[in-house]
Amino acid sequence: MMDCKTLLQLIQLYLDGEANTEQTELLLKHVNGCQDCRCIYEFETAFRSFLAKKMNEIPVSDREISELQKKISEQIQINES
Amino acid sequence: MEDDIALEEDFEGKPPLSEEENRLRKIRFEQEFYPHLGSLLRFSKTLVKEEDIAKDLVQETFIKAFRFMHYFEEGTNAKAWLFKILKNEFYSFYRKKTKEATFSGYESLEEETGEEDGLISQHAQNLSTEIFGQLIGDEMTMAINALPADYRMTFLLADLEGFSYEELAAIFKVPIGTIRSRLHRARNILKKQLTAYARGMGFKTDEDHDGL
Repeated sequence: MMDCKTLLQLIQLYLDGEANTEQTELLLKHVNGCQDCRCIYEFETAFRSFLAKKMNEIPVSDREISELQKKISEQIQINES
Repeated sequence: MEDDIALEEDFEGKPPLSEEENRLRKIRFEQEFYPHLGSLLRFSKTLVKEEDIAKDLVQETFIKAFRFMHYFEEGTNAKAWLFKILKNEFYSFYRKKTKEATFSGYESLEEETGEEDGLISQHAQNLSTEIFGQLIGDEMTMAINALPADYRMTFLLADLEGFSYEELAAIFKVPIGTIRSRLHRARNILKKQLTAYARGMGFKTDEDHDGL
């Protein structure tokens, strides 16, 4: 059985999408059998979801994207001439 | 930035592009680079709160990308390449703003230590997920902005843009272990700050219940 400290490192790897199949299996097995680690795992997952949700609330409209693209194209044109 | 200086030097020795080469370069630029404009703008807005500056950084990034496009290898990751340029633009801007000579002061924080995960564990156990739900975006933005610049960029590129450790290591020109360490520390700092904020607002954490 994996120790809890190793599992903490694996949680970060797993949530970053960097854990291999073997590490993923070890992690899930441990989490299912250890309540403390399951709490941490659930918290880490929720914390990341929260951060992602909040960061994606930053407004970027299609209009400002197209305006910026136009401005860049114009500047490139000026630089070339 | 050093990358730009290296690129400038290489560029100066190159013969100018023919009209046809230039036409093809523009088409490729529009097809491969412009689709990432929205991602770069969102990222830039997260990095700097002044909208005009955020847009200027993105504009400069694309102008440089066009100028040095012949150094971009076809079939490689255009988005990562653009973010690498934007990172340099941000550093230049940040350096001018803070008049800091380097960011090396933060590197000492990046030594891998066994305590890191222990700290994460401690905070994870002391927090309740619901508390974070009560916080609004401003607190999180402030907490992110308070991170050291290297940590902030690495964290945002990983969590906002989903870059892999390998891609991040290439963008920042550091070992993968440094990327992993920065991410752990950045998240740990955010947890600490957001928890402190939540407690300041009167929310109770497990720490309070335990009397720790």
